[in-house]
Amino acid sequence: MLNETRIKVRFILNGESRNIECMAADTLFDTLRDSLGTMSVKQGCDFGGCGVCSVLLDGRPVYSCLMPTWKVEGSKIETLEGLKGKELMNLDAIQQAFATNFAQQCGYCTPAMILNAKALLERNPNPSVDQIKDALSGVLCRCTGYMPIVEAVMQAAMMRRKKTQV
Amino acid sequence: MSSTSQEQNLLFKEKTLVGVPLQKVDSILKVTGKALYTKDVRLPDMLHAKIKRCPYPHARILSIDTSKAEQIPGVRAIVTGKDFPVQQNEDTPAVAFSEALYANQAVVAVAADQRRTSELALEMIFVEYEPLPWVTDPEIAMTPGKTPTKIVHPSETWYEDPNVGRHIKIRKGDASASFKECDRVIEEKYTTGMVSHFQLEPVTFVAQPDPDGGVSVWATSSGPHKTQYELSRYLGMDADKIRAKVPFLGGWFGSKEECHVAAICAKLALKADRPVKLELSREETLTATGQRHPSVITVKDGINKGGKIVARQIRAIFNGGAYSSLGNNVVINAVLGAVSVYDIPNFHMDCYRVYTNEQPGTPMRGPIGFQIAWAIECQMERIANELGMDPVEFRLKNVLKEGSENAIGELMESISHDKVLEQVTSAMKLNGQGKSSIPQDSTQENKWVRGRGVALSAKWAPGGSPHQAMVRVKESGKVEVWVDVVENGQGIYTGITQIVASEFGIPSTDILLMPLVFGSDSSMSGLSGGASASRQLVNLGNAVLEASSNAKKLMAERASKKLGVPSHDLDVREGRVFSKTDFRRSLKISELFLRAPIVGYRTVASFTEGVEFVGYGTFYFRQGKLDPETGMTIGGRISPFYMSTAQIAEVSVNVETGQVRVEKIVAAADVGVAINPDLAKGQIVGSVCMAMGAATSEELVFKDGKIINANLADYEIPSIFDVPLVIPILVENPLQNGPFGAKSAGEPSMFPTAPAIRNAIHDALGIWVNDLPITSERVLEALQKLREN
Amino acid sequence: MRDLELNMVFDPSEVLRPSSFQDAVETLDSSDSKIVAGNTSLYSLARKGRLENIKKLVDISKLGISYIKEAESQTSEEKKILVGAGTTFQEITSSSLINGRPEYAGLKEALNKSPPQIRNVATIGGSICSAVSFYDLPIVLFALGTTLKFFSKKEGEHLITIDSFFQNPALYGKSLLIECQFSSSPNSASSFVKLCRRMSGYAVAMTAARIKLDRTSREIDDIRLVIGAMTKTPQRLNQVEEELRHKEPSIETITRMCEKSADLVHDIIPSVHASTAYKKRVLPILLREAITTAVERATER
Repeated sequence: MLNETRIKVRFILNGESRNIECMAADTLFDTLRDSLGTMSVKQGCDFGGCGVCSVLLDGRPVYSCLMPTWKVEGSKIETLEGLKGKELMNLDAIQQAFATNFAQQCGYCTPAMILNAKALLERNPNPSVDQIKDALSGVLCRCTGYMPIVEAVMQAAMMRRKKTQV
Repeated sequence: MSSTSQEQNLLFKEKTLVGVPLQKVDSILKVTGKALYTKDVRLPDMLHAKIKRCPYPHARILSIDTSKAEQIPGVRAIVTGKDFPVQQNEDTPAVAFSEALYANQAVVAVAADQRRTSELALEMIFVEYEPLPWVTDPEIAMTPGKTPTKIVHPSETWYEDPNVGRHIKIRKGDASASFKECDRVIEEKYTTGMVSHFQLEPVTFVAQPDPDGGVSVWATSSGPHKTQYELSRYLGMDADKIRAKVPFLGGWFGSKEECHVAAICAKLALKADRPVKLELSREETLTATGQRHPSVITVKDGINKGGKIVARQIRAIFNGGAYSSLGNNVVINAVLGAVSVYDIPNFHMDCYRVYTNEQPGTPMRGPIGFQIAWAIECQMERIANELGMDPVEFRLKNVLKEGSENAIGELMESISHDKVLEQVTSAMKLNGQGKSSIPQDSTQENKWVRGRGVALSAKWAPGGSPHQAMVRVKESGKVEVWVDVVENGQGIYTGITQIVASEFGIPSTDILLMPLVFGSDSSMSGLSGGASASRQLVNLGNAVLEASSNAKKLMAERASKKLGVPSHDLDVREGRVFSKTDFRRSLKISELFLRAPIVGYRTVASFTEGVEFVGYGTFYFRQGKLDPETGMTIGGRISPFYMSTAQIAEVSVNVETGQVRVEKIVAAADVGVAINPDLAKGQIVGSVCMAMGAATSEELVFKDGKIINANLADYEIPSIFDVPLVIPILVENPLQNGPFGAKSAGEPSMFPTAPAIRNAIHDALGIWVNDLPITSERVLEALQKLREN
Repeated sequence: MRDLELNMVFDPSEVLRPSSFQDAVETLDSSDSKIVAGNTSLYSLARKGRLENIKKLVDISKLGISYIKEAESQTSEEKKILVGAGTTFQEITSSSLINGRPEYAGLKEALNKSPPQIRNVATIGGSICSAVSFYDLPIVLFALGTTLKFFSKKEGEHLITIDSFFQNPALYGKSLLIECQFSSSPNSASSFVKLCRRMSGYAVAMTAARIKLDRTSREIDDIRLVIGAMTKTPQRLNQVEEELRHKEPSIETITRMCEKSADLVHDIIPSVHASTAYKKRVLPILLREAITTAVERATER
């Protein structure tokens, strides 16, 4: 029969402290979607191939489907739900650039793409095209052919740089 | 008409969103992660379902023992084949009944409180099988004597060959006689592999029992009505009691036509009397749901001295897998793909869809036509090369002209074959015979050689199914649009919004597109054929236009008395009803409404007396049929129109490893009128990248009757590093019956990519690869052959 | 027989968090425990029912084995770098000890083939202990002649060469890998060449090389060549190395020697879209490229 042992885990999700109980087999993906309702975290493959489940762990992208929940004890987790900006309709510059550049079709990879772009731009405000491609290489998109996404990240980088100059 | 009113009317007319790159109306939902996909649907007390699958490509099911699983706490329902009405031979059953006909076919399904409980239950269910002989090669399956006749299905009685699900014949002129008189006869065989849509969202369903004994289903499906009617058949339930909802789709491309899987979910929900969610894994999505039909296509051409093709004979065999699903139906696309580009006086075609022990083939973006275009455009290059003719000139010489008739008797109207070819050749020069004019990279000792290749194709349009729409004009001038439109990423919510907004001359923000709020819902809107075959923009676009015009008529009738103008002289735009001949005679839409408080409250509601300003529209293109003996159309055309598309690819090929790098593709497509040019370009670029994957790396590989690469490590779709630079070119040749002249854009650009890449590889190295995907190994093999000769 | 297959559901009940090497290896005593490092494959394999029944998960993050540093006693001839087994790809690739140094150029290339999501969690120890031949990093570590520091119940801390590890990885199932050590000397350089169908995909075939040139004669003083994704575990090409040692690294010599390599490797296994024959054909080409690149890098120093 199945075991019922729960493990207590504390972490910060999108700025809010969370105390949860999980099974040893649970991944962060399971916890975020089944227990915490952050539905922007998507699933596309059976583990670590498509990248649409990406979240930021202490500012760096990880595949939530490969991250055991018990391992994130004490960490800071960010999902797209936590991304807020001061732009139009509370959008972050990256979100705005994705919206205006047609950088999403079905939108299923969009949360992951935006989070990966954010992790990149926070470390490297002025990335080259190759650096953008490297940063996004862990997420697949079947609709756009990627070009509009790269363009959106370029534009977002520019918008963010302008803002910090002001 | 006075000149002022003419000017004023012009002003009215100018307020249009047609041709405007409007930001997608669902973009904010998507960049904030709020767009709801079927996978995100969660209901109170929802159970989780899992499916136990057959490990053999063909087996008799001797027994299923569920007794142990039933005793596990938390297991709420188990279904087997016995829970469903018996289906006809060619229909994929929800769960195999007495025989499983392909590896990973569903045999038994469980719903339990938790996913892991369902998983455990599957381990505690015992199935006894008797493995049976199987066949995966369609050429063997269809050859009498090679395999037991009934290995998959007893053939339809009207076909002599075993395992043939459909055979279509075209007989125009006398091809075999003409071959004897031709200067040159060229015959080649081309193949394509099984390719997956690989939409990122795996197949998922949620079902909830309804209070009236019916069931609501949230579906990853191309259309709610399709799901509703198919479920009715699978459940043996009145269609009126089935509500199908399609929220945002995480990619589609022809996948997710899996109503037989939806039926499992619905049955479990009804049996457990609780909501059930059934999420297929990626592996299940790849091995147990439909993929693109693999094909073997032989093309034989007779050409005269001037380079005119006088006779063509095609034998096309499509591996249909174990059941038809939509397959026996869509295989007609082989004909539409084969007759729509070139003008060939003697044309013979035999097209077969053959049953084998693989999962049922399903439509995929440009279904069947993709395979045909591959064969024909490879063949065209071969002929041009053998004749020493310029590949573009050779194609132009044989291309169908506007106003001519194709081989099945359809009039070719509003085509742009010449134009799209012209556009791509002027954007990127072809090098004809030899690649001398492309700058070659000399720094790497010429391991990478560049080449360019062209291909031309045409995509048919869908007909035959009804599309309905309803619009309601509100006191504010805002317009509600009720239509079963499915947003799979192509931007159709935006397209429909732009069409209605343009018709009413109002901003897009004044359009209340109800599917954006509720998802597409079979119980809320009229019929539609769903997203398949690039149908929505034209079919639903026409339906919303008719609905809008009918709503306007109601308003004109109501306003006619008030304005003292006959209703036929009135139009509605920009929130006003006005006389078409004298714009000064007009009133605000709100003037047609009354206002009254809702009982007990202070707020006042607006209403109309009698009928609301609700307009309905139905667009239905009645299709003809093909004569079973000659293949000529009877009772009207099959495809309402055709869309021309051409591409030139530039590739680099590594002469040592055989690796192919696609550098650049120029892609032109006739979109009629681009309602939203950026969305149309997005469809072209997306198609090209997807087709590039199929051309160079993607294939599901079978070994011992089972797929061995059903995961992302071994089935490789293009990553951000692999995609070429794609330059989309919109060719606008308005379609008379299209909404504001629009044609569609979702599929046509799938066709020329693979052959253009292959022809570019020939340009680079002089080798011919006739099989998809063009793997490095195949390139090296061809090089070896070339060197040996 | 069927009943024995019961309960393949991945359902571990415990996470153990040893704080000493001794405690850690004790947890590995029972057959139903498994170390979780970066977890790029464990859960996925377990959930697909591909691993034996796992009841206990061993968290090694409290063992203090995430570090990258220079060994204390350095000679001018040889510089040694120590990398804790729990160090992530990201930590290694961003280290100043690795960056810009030709002897580790191949290492950096291999690390950067993974997407950021993997680089941020995957560990050097995990990539070695998985002992598969299609991971990029172990191929280069093998070529670098890495020394592995294991901890076992019997022997405590002890060093073995990566060569002996790959001869029989199963021997080390109950030991704990705690550190990887690699040393470099002047005039040496490494390279990594990977052939894949998709640029971010698994290799169809790959090679890594480390070459040391003689300071005066510029002949090949020492050479290590390793191939991956060709055979079941990564393999060293001793015979080719032998032939090239003390030779002048001209392109002709390299090409000639590489051409022989295909016949020296047995048990080449096909992958989905690449047959054994194809792999044999590209092996000399990848090898040549790896060697010439490493030679170029070593010459530039």
